[in-house]
Amino acid sequence: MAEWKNRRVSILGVGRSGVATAAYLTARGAQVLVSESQPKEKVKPDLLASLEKLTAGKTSVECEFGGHTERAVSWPEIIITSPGIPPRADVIVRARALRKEVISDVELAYRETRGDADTKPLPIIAITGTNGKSTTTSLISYILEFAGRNAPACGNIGVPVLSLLDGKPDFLVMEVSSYQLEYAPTFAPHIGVWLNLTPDHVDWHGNLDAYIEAKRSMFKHQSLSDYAVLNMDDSVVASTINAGEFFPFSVLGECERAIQSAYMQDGFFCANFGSRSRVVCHESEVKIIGKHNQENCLAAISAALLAGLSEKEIKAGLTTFTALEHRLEYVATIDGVPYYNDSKATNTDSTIKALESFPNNKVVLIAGGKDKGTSLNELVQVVKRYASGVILIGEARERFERALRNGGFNDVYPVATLEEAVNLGGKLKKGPVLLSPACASFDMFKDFEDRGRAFKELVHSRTR
Amino acid sequence: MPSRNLSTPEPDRWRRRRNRGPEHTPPEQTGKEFRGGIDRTLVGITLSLCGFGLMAVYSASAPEAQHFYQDSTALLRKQTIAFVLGLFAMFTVSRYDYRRLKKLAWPLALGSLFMLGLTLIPSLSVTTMGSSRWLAIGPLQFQPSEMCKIATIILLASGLSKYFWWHRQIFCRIAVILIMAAIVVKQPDLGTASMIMASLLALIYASGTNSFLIFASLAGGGTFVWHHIQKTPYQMARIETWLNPYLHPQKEGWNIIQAQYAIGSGGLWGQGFGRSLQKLNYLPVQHADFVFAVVAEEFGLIGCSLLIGLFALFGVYGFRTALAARTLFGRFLAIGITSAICTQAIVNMMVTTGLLPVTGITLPFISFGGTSLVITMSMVGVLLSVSRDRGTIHDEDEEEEDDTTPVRPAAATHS
Repeated sequence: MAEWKNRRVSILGVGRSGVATAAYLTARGAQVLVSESQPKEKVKPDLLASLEKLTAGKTSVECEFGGHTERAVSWPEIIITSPGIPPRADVIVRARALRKEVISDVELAYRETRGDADTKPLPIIAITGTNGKSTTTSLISYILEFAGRNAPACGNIGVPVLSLLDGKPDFLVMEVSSYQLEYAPTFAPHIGVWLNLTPDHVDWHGNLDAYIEAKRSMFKHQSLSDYAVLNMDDSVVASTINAGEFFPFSVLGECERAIQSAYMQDGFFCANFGSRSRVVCHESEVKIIGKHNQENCLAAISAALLAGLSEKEIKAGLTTFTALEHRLEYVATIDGVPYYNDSKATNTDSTIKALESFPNNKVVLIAGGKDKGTSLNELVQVVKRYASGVILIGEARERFERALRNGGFNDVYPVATLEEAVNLGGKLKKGPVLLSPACASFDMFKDFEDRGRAFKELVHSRTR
Repeated sequence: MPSRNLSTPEPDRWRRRRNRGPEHTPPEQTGKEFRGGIDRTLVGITLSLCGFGLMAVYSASAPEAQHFYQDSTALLRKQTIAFVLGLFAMFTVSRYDYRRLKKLAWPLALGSLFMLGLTLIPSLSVTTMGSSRWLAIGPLQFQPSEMCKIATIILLASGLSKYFWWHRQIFCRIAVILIMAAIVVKQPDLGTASMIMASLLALIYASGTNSFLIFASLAGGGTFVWHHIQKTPYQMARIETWLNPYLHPQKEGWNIIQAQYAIGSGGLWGQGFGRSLQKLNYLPVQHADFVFAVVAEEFGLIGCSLLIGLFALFGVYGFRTALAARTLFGRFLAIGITSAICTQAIVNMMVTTGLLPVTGITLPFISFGGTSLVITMSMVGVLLSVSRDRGTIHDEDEEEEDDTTPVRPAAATHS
């Protein structure tokens, strides 16, 4: 633990993590400057309230809004940035030119938990990947907590890491995004999990290689006794260079014979670990559906085994875990049509995975939103196999319609609003209705949660 | 289980006994998680084998030493120096965290490759019996190909513990190992080369490669070896004499026939220590490759069984260490080292008894050969270091299984 008394720190970006960082550092006596590029009115009121509570009656915390001043960059000894600020941003470039250290809250939490002479370092289980991070993070945390360990889920999932350090947990189960890793130069979790990689957030990192590098950096600094849990079905992930030991997992049966691995066999989740093969449970016992969720389960089994749980403890957690909100969440069945909410699917890859979760009956897909401009070829192929109709909404609908019709799929229904889409889906009666937009939500809704809730509302209103 | 009873209590007993001196400073400890006693059964087996070896070397080498140096203990003394060095190496290595070897893998491999390359330079290498395997630095002579054995195991074990078997890194490592093996073949020392390839195969097999690849590479390697043998007349002659030793009883068949005489005259109880007749100028290299024949003649079937039993025990405890190892790297190291030593022992004994063609492989721990003994003992040191890092998972599992599966004891009482 570093000594923070009277050290000058500036925090860029007021978010949940920024406020938690400020609270953590002021509690340890640091001088903190919180800087936000947005004007004060645009900051979420609950964050503002907690920030004001923090500054009340103290001189050690200052706040500035509406842009990062020169002082925010030149004054501090260390800068803790919000992951929302890309490395090309002016403020980061200026800070780096002044040779200031710019780190994210993940890195700070890592450094603060390294332990010293009498305390052991706190083991961190870090989960990264393009899709399925949140599910896996909460699954691992759930399994560990079910087995009696104090292992809160934190990070990108919504709970800032630094707010948990005072609770003295046994493990930190951390969802880390590539953004946070970009600002985490020495971060090396005890168990690093990488689920998959598809081109996403490329605009933020600059190019795909930078994105891959950011993800790989997590494994580069691992020590000899750390573990890398890697998905062997994803070639980029599988070829990661890691310094510790690796633990492969594969849905496709790539590593059944490996000396240490997690895999699917005849529909059973199995693992080879500690010189024996273990069967955890059958896929039908698990409440979360879809092939991508099998990946998530295998990753969670691997991490839990490495954390020292037995397969029985893992089974107890795995079979009672239910899906998170907006991730292939079952909503209701109305007039014989089941509705699924997969509003979290903000890229084509997650939509493809959602479609592949319904191998037995064709679905009516509701897609569209703010277009990300990614290639649609693969999505069209999957839609032809798994969907009986596609209802399109949002500003992306023209491009989607064109792509689908060019691909030879003609059951396309562009509509104006989500409400029309839900009604049409109910009327078509061509199979389960699945909201899996493959697009961001910013044109019609505040975020994907807002979109998911609106969808559920609309579905439930049809019952009445 | 005997290993647990012997090795778990008083984990520091070995260390205390050796650290009695007040001037001794304790070695650097590598973190809290690495502790525990070494497997003392393995130490016992190793020391018994070494003791057996010194005895056999003395008996087998005495006449030749008497003849050349006018001192029957000359070779024994050389071997004893190697044994003391080996003992020192073994215990030193066993105290350090084997995981550090992961960082040494590439330097060690490239270093031994370099030294192996030096043996190709005629002025630096020492040529005995048509094969330039030794490197002479001043009065010291050693065999880089012995170092290659352990470098191979460490390089591949560290690779396989980090990457899946089809990773580019693994192919780089296998390529380096193949270059080593090729140089060793050029020396020519086909026996050691095949030992290097054997440990490579064992590790690749343990890592869970698909069997097709293993068999394909075995077939490919077999074809290459057959081609090489056919090209080299002396090797072809060895094959012929293996099939029928009495084809050239005075030339190529000599070794095998004399070894068989030695084994036969040993009988059940043997001739007694030092009373072998075959070692008196009948058996060639009687203290190295054919030491097993001398052992058979002097100690008979009982002595041989004891020796084979010791090697078998070594295998059992080595693989048990592999099973109990807590890390993947440790497991691969234990598998590689145990299988290398045991394969070499099996092949040597099969050669001596005429089951395999003559290859020129020594019997680990037993045969005369300083480099070989020191390297083998430091390999055991690594194995002991792995045995210190036992996982607790293994024990817990067994207890848990007994609790939750009442079927098994019930079935046992029925039968």
